[in-house]
Amino acid sequence: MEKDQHSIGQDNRRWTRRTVLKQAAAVAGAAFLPRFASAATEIPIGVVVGLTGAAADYGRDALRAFELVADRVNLSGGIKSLGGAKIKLLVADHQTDLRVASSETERLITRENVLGILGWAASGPARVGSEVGERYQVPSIDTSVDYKLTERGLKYFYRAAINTRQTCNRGVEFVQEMEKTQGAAVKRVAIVHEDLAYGTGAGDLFKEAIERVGRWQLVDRVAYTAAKLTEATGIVNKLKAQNVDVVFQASYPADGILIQRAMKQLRLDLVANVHPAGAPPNLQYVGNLKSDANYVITTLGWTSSMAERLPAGAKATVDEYTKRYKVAVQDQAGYSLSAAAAMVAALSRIKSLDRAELWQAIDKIDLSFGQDPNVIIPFGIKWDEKHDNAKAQAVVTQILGQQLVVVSPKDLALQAPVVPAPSWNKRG
Amino acid sequence: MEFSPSVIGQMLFTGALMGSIYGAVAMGFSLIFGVAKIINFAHAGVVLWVMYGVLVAVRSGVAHPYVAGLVAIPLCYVIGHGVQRTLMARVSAMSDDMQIIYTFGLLLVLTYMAQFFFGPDVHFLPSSGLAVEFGGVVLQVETIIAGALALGSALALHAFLSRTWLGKAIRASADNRRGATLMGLDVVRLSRVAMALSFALAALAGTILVTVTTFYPLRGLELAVLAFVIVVLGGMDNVFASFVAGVLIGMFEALGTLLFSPSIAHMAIYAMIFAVLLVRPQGLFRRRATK
Amino acid sequence: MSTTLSPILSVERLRVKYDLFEAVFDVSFEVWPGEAVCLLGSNGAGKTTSLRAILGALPIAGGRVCFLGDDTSGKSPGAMTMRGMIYVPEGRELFPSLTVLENLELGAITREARARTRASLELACELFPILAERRMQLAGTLSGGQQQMLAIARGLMGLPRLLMLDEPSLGLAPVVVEQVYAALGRIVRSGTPIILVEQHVHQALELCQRGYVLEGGRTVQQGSTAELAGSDRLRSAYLGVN
Repeated sequence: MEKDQHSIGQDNRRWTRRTVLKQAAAVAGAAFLPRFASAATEIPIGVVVGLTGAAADYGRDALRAFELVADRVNLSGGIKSLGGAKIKLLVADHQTDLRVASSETERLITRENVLGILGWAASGPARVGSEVGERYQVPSIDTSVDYKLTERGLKYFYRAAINTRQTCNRGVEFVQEMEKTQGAAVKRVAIVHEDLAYGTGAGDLFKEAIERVGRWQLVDRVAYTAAKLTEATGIVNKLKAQNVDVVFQASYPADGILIQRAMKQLRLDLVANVHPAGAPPNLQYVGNLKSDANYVITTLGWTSSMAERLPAGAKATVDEYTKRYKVAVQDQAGYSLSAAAAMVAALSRIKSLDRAELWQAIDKIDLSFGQDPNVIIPFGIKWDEKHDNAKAQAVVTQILGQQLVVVSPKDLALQAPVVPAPSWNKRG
Repeated sequence: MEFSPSVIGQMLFTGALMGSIYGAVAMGFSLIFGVAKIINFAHAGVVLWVMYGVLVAVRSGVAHPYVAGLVAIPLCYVIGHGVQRTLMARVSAMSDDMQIIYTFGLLLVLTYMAQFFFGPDVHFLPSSGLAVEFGGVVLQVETIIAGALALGSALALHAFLSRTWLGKAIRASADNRRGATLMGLDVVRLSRVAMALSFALAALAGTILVTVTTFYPLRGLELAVLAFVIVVLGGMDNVFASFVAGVLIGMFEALGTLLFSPSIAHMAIYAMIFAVLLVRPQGLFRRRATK
Repeated sequence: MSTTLSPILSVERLRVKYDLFEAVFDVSFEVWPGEAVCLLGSNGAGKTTSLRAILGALPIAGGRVCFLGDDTSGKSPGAMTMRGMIYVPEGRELFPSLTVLENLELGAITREARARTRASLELACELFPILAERRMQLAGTLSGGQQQMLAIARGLMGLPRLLMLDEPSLGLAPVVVEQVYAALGRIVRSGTPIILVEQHVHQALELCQRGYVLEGGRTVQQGSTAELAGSDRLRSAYLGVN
């Protein structure tokens, strides 16, 4: 271990020196050469994702999406504004490990001289990797969902994915809509969440959103440790004792399944049970709970069942992905297709392989749904002041007939929402 | 917050039932510590593998979980005997810290082998949906059966250890291994019987856990910690006290969940362990005997 | 048949590598049916080491041990106990968190002994009435003298063909030593062969018919207890110490 660190340190010194020399040469050359890239140039774009470790599924999906977009661009003649230069993805595995995420990001920047970064497809690695990017002034577009990532005021870090703040707010808004349109009576609400970063963050966001609504009474906030939860009737018993109408819940699959089963067992009838992504979109959730998963509501940035309602170009991208990898586009793949689309659009606007120029171009991105075939998450990409995707909008899905079905917004909805959910006794 | 009798009843019953399942996990762990003086973290790995075994049997349509358990218990008894002859034969001669490293290493091997063969996914058996209701308390049939089996096994084990000659011999060799050797008890064989029994208990615990909870490979590590905590509370080598400590932990967890939240309840359980180790290192229930 | 003609136990030139103080280099002795034999010697002379090696609890480095006519080399304490060699160890080595009754029951180690548990219990309780009174009490809560009685009684439960008693009076008050020796006298008179290791020379010489003196891991003297009682060697070996 120590030996490794030592050798990395040496490498850094060597490469830093070489980079300095290179930059000096580049400055000298720039005085004499016209600022056009040659036709044979490759555009080095770094991809830092977890291909092993806890977030390996996400990393694999993200990489697939990046490769799909890069191959499409390269096969259709490369980036025109750069004389048909091809995109070259330089892939590093952050192993879902913060230390590795930091060192691999730095390696791609200093050794491979990447122009920009696509990544990190996991919130922890994104947090440390983005700081490395900031230090070297390398622009990055991320696909992680933790809302705190964009609250650090980073200049070079952008996020294409929908974040947890957006999904949580959308969940609360949706319940308000249901009060109006379905006449659902909501008085007492509770928050249930696992106690790591994801759940605690979602719990905070729900609390803020519920307080903004004002007229609901937040009767309880139940935090639990997912790995230690062997049964959930305790939690549900408590919710039941407090006559809760709506539960806002952030869970992982294993604990989400236990809680849902306990709700059935204790016959906790809710107007709605709303999750920001989390357990319900996971295939294991419905796979294990079967019809007991029905009527659970989830707010998401992407779900494969949206594909049917996408504009033609975006639909074709989804189909190509499914054909090429033999799997449906999952949420990380969806965000990553859009992130790659933003990167390509920015590359198409620069005249030279310059990080600062790329950064300016990324910052000005404004893509609309249906305009760029690679943009598949509704409704496009445009950064707000925090560099979050202001055009991204969470869709509301509900598990109906053991399928995740989009129920809002109207133009993407396949079915109307079932709110309030039927009581357990009537479900048979 | 005010709670109705049915809410409190629900809490008490669920707590006690889940607690007795925890106790079932801890008993085998405690038995092996008592007799062979091995802190066998791998015990939880055995529980985990039984869970997967039962799952495979059920998913492939071979057997109902309880039937699979009936096969798993004697099978694990035999395997436990073999393990004490081979993998564990030299462990009691190791220093304490080596032992912990060794058995924890085994647990990691079992955990990651489960991950390799079955993937990291969550598994969960569909419940029968049958429930017993009385006075507003709803208890799932599987949970009741699990609690009853756990209690039954605790009573049976207690009877075995306190009534039969072999059981007394196992306790004797736990109490004074050198004395047992000098008076002619075959402590090596008794360790094997104890390990075999501990495996059989792991099989029972695994079977009943499958019917009530979700699981995935890393659950093994959590079970190991849980068993350790219970056994520290009960007094390391006292098997029946471990069961009672398991029930207490279950009730404590339920009460903490009702009054505060599960996170706080779990934290309090660990805090309680530190308090026990400081104030009553021999466990809550152990009488101190002068030697 | 042969038991009447041959010793129950014969130890020839026993050698045991143990540690510097308790090593045994050359110990020989015999026990004949019905006989009580004592091994005398100062602390570290090799008495306990010899007994434990004979039992199979320590490896024998040389010499020969025959019990009931068979060579015992390589046998475990379990196997020796099964054949009727019962050891009542120095320091009692009871099971402190088991009850008195459970300690006694565990003494009945062979199938034969277990079948006769009830009769043996009656006998033990008659010999040591205090044990009957305390039978549900944890052994660890007994006084030192009661623990020694329990250890002896536990040995008797195994229906010994040879009872090996290691320092039964160690750490006991004189009045308790008297009680223990009174009971041992009854055991000897019942015909159970005994080897007694003891530093209380007077009691040992009174109880036994024959004795051996060990010094530095060697048998240096043997004879009837009457002869030994008058021996200068024993006086010099002991009176200085005791």
